[in-house]
Amino acid sequence: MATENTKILTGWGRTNPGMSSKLELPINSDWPAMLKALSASGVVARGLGRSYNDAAQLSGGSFIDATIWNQVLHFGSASGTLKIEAGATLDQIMREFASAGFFVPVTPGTRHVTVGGAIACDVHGKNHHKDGSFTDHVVSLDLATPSGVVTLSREENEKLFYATCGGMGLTGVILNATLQLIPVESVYMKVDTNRTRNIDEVMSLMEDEDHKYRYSVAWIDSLARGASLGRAVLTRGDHARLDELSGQQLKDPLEFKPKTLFSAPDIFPSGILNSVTIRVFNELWYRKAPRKEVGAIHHAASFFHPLDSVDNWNRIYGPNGFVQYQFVVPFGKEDVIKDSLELLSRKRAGSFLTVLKRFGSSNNGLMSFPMEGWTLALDLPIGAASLPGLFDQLDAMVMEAGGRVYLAKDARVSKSHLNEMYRQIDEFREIVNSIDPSRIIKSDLSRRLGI
Amino acid sequence: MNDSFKKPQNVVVLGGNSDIAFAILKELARHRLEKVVLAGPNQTTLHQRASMVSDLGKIEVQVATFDATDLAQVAAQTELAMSIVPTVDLLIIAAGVLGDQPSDEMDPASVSKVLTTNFTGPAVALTATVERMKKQGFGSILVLSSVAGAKVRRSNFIYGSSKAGLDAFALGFSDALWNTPIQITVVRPGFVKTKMTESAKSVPMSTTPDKVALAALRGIELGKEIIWVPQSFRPIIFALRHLPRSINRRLPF
Repeated sequence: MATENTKILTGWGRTNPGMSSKLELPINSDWPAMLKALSASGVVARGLGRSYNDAAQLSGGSFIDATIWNQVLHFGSASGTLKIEAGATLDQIMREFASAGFFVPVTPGTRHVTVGGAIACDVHGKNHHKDGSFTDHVVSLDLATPSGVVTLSREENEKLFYATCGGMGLTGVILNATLQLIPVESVYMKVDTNRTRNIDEVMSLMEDEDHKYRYSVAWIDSLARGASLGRAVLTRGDHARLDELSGQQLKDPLEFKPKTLFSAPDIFPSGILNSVTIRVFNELWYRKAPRKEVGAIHHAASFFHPLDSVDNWNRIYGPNGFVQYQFVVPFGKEDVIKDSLELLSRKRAGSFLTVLKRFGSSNNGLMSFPMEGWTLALDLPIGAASLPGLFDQLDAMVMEAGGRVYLAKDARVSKSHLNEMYRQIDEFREIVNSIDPSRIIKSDLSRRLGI
Repeated sequence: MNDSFKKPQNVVVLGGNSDIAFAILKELARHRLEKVVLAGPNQTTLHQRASMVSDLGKIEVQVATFDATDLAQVAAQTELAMSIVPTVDLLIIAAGVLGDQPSDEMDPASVSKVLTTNFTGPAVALTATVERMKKQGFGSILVLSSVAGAKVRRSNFIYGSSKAGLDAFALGFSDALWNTPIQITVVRPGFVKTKMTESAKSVPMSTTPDKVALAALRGIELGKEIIWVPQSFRPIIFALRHLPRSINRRLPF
């Protein structure tokens, strides 16, 4: 157990720890030989461990630390095309290429994720309704498999490309990717904010006006009840143009150097975040937002990644950790959003951060999460005895509505629900089995869910 | 594998005919339970129990040999039982006998049997389990102890001391495994109405296998090391531990 390279790993939710051996391998390894040598106990690639549960760990096996591969391989300064190693982070790309006038095309709620992880989870951001998910901006990638290193794109090895985009790292080890960045004039955002009284108001506002904005997301007070059920703060915006900036903002409009305020120490007991403290937090957050504000200029870091200003913020949930849960249901199934908020509110299951967003169309990724419809993300601290049953109930509602849950956050879905939600899962399994017949590449998630 | 609520897919039970273990499996069947190994000394009763477990849902049940009194074989039997499942997410140590205090205390062979079944055998099995879990990198172990072991009394000191031994051994191992993904939970129920205790006379604050099961699983979920069932035993036993010896030996229960 106690060899030097044995690490105790968890996802960002800090549940389900497992011990794995850490491997630091050169990116130009003899991959088929290397992977076959690991066939006894298996291996999975790991980036910054920001998926919430067990996707990037293999207890009793090995993990490849991909964060050591972070070199820029090519950058087209006119086109914004970037070829970069898979362990590079979105934070790194923003810092390095903002000055050239380019920004990451899709960013999740944290910029501390690797390119490889962003592809494996096919992450999405506030602009999904306009720009799709992360892999929609991936031109090509190199993947190490037990049968060799292959280049994948929509033209070359198309099937394996679509299995890898959202494939949770189970098709192989992503070595590098070519991304299409987007041009920006500044690292500032022009943001409109609306505070809404209830869920109906925010949903109709999003339906009517989201098309006017590149970025849109609503934060929901999960503990509001009755007529205030689902009261929300909706923020929408786009990258600010130079002529929209003023004063200090014009000094270095393309300098992206956000700072971390502090790091949360690992001293919080479980239970600090409970229905009372979460209610207070929600109340304050709601009150702090302006009722209506138009054209405010915010820094991109505070617009996209407010939580990144505190390192290790997940520690405030205490050692038992928390469960993130995100689902999507097609348009027309708005009732599922309302019913689930009702259920949470009734069971007093306070979700600390609850986020509602509208997705645009899905892409061709076989296991990719986003699909056209409404998506709701919740996070609940481990503790309430009713939680497992509550999530099972939500799963059933989501499945019934033809929706699905997000695997990058999953911690507990049942195999039978998963197989119903991801209709192309059998095709995915076939592809994985054909390139890795002895299933050397696997994770605790793939073992738990039988993928 | 376990889910985030530490609800296992694969469970091995040493002492597979235990009523409390069955109550735990019954609860787990409502979650993610898939594969169960019931290990025990009597294959006939184990098979009956196995069919009860399969009736709980789509659960694959196998039986294996586990004889806690066969100290030369206990480790190998434990390893074999664990090898049946791909991962041992939860292992329950439920082997145990109550014995018959008044007659046993006059019979060295009976004392040996109770102590071996309840303490030495399970301690050896626990050691083998931890070795396997270190290799697989995670796992939960549930040890069925007793309030009788938390406060050993005149009326029940053979059973009580055997559980005291196992309880202390398991908590010592828990300390050794602190901050690793291998978690040991010791559950200390009061008088539980089961087939093991059907001949004994019932006492106040008695509990049921279902209540013990729920409390134990909550304890595992929340990473607790010691679970009292009912919880009110904790202050009571704390108080009893401070009785002078002269009163202690006259306790009426």
